[in-house]
Amino acid sequence: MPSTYYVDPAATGAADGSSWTDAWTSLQTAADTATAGDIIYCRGTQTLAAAIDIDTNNGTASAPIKVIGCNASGAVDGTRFTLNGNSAATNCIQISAALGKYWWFVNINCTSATGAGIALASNGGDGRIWVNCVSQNNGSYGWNLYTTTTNGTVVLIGCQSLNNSNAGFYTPYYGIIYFGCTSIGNSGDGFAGASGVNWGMVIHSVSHNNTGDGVNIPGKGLVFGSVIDENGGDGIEFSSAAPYIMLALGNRITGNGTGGTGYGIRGTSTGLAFYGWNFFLNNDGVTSGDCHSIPYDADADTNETSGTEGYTDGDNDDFNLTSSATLRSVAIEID
Amino acid sequence: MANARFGQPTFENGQEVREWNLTQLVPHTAIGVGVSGLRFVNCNLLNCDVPADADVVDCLTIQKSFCSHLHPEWVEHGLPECAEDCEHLTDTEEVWIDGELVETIRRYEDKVVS
Repeated sequence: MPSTYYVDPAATGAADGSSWTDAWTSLQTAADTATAGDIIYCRGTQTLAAAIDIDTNNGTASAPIKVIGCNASGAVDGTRFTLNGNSAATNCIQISAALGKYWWFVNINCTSATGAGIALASNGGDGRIWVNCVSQNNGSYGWNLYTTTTNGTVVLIGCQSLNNSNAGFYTPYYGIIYFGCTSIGNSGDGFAGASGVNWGMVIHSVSHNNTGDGVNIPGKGLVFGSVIDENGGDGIEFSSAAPYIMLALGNRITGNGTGGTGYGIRGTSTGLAFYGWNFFLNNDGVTSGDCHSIPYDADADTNETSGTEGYTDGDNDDFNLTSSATLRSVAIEID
Repeated sequence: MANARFGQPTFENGQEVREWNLTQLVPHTAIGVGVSGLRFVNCNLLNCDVPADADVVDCLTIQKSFCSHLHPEWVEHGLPECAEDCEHLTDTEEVWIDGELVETIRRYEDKVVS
């Protein structure tokens, strides 16, 4: 029979986790106790000296362990439970290699860790879902989402990474899906992956005002319906080698690479890429003849439609769109 | 939300600075020099030394030595280039094939400093 537990750092009761009155004062206690199907409700702010380690139990696909932030009254209304690293804890949440599968996190705020706000260790990243969580003002990545299995899927829905001292969202390996996520003001890429065979999907998300690329996917990737705006590097960089496929569809890609260092989309390797129905403006810091999109093209011809070179759609103005060009196909509306 | 990463922000006396990323590349970089009455709320003050009279609320305040081997893209922003065997080196692995050293793998990490 699944159990329900409560965490409130300000609670002064029996500290057995059985109610808000008798709540545990640390999420760590709950994390070490919960088993498959259990729900942990949390409210308030917990100041950390060390990371909350999710390293004891797994949920299952049909019975995940859920950590849910609540408001001061204990209701679930989108108010976040805060884990404050207090410039002391290395991470706010750290999920172990072998355990910590099938955990869901809802309404959690992770801030002021000396390293990544949220760190997922290697091996076995199965079934982690994050909803309406924030990682901000941390000393490295906002999210370091390490998984090492092809089915090690991590899904983030409506999450934010803000003002961290490295990339906002980073994955060294496989299986990340970002839906409706926001990466703003980070000292690195907005959404990033390490070189290798990782893949990722960035869907209906926002990458804005990061120092690096808006989205950098060096493996199989899809960027769809997103706003990628005013980042310091490229809007999107795809650098996967053949035979991987990269797709950028229906994005607004604007104002990236100011200072002449970035492009709207840059393809830098031999993977097959398709870019379509994207809107480009003012990338590369140039006011006319701007909005470059340069897929890899070894023999410098145009409109590759086969092989491993980049594919450019000559029928659309997706490339080299000047400020006076007629926009023939845009899949998203620009206000 | 605003950002002045890797650069010197401009403040006014008595300004409340809320949700800014002020990360600096080198530990103990002074910001807001000569400005009084600043209040920082929910900011990233990594590697920042703020004026002595500043009020700091819910901010990251650590000092960290960044390694240019890990952040080569930051060199153009002013991060000093590290030597091969710099202070950030944590591990060295030699790869030998048929009695011949073919590669030396060096691993680095950023370090939190006082």
